[in-house]
Amino acid sequence: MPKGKIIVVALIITISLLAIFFVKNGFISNFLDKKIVMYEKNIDELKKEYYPMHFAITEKKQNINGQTISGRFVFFTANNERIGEPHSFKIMGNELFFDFVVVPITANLKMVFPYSIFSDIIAPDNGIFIAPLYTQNGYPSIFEKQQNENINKEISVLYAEICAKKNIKNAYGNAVHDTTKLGSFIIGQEYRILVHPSGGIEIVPVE
Amino acid sequence: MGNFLHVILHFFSEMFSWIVSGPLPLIITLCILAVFSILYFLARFLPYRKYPKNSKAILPGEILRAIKNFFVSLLILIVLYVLVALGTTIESYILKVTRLQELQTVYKNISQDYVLADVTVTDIISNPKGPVLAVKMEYYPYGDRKNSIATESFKIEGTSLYIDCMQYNFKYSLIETGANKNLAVPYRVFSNTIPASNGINLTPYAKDGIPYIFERTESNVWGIEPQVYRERIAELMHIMNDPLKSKKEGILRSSTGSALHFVAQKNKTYRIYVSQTGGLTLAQKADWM
Repeated sequence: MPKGKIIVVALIITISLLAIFFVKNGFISNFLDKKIVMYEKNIDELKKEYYPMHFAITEKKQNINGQTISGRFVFFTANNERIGEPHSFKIMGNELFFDFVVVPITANLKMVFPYSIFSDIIAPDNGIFIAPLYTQNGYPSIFEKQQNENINKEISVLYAEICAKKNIKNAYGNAVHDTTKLGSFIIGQEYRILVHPSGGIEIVPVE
Repeated sequence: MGNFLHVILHFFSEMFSWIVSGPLPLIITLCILAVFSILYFLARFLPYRKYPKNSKAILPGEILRAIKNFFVSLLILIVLYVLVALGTTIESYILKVTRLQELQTVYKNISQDYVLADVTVTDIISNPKGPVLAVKMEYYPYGDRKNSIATESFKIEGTSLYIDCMQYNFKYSLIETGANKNLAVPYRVFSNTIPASNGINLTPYAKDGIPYIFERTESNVWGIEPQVYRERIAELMHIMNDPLKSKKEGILRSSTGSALHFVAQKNKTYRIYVSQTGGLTLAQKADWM
């Protein structure tokens, strides 16, 4: 085959491939964009945080029986609006435990209900029961109401069982607390309970 | 080199964007090419003006050559345009693929849950004061979900078991890049009727004082040199032993106690997980795990 013809054929093939490439470019680019958006959304979902409860220690007083911790706590909605007035508490002990009931909803989503306050010297059964304090007509006001009324009813039923101290199937508890080694709660510092959709719970100071 | 190519590509991309932005820039470009062709023609023809007979002979050929040069330069410009478009498209793909890989790494790192321990109530013993739970705890090294490396057993009064752990949650940026992993160490157990201060201390440490979560097994060695691994463990132990300082330095996001608890059922095993988004979770262990 003459050299000239080879060059022409190669040029035609190259231009054709380039044309196909630019036509397909749209599909490849869209595919990559969709994947990027999907991962960004999934990461944002994983990193969501909720703060259903804030508290502060107002006093730690030593007496002959040991230490008494006084403080206040308040509940917040999913939109970060305060629910009602702060509640006061007083309990004997050195470490303060905030107990929650964790109810799995899906593989990656759990609902976390504030349940009680106890201490290192007060057994959980003898703690301060706080679950009924965030009710709004039988609905736990720390959660946003869903559009589906049936789901709202199920949540209300679940909440009623928790307030009645019944065992919830597949649920477990998590009592987060301070310790001497990890840092005791500072008097006057506001803290908030940080809840992850996975059910993990942390305590972080309010900056 | 990459930056240099990017600058060149960007320059030509801007240039061609201007050329195709409207009829006027296109006409200007064609005029510039025509001017170069004419200048080339003049550079070749002018030396022959001293020889009128020769200049008449070569004039048609030179005119044709000048026209050919104009079209060749136009073709070169078109090819360059295609190459620049190809280059910017490939560059855009590389950026998107790189971004996608970064996001996949971040997602993999923060969606990971590590097994800390399995807790099994092996027996519930009746007692006049109340039931006594016989419990077995199995500790796992990070990265291994199948083979526990140590076991501890104890008995405690009560109907619900509380496994108290110290949890260390690092800044998100350190988890996302894989530079660190959230950690936890179980350190005591108590029950619904036994307060924490009267609980039972656990020993989740190997003989050298290093927590079992840092033990290296065949399945979690990950090709790290032993010396590098020892240095890394020393660094993590330093963070765990002085969490207040680590929080001030911004390494730790939070460090608190976390007592996971459940109503005891005989022969049911619960698995404690350390979530890389933060905190600890609990789930019943399936038989196939």
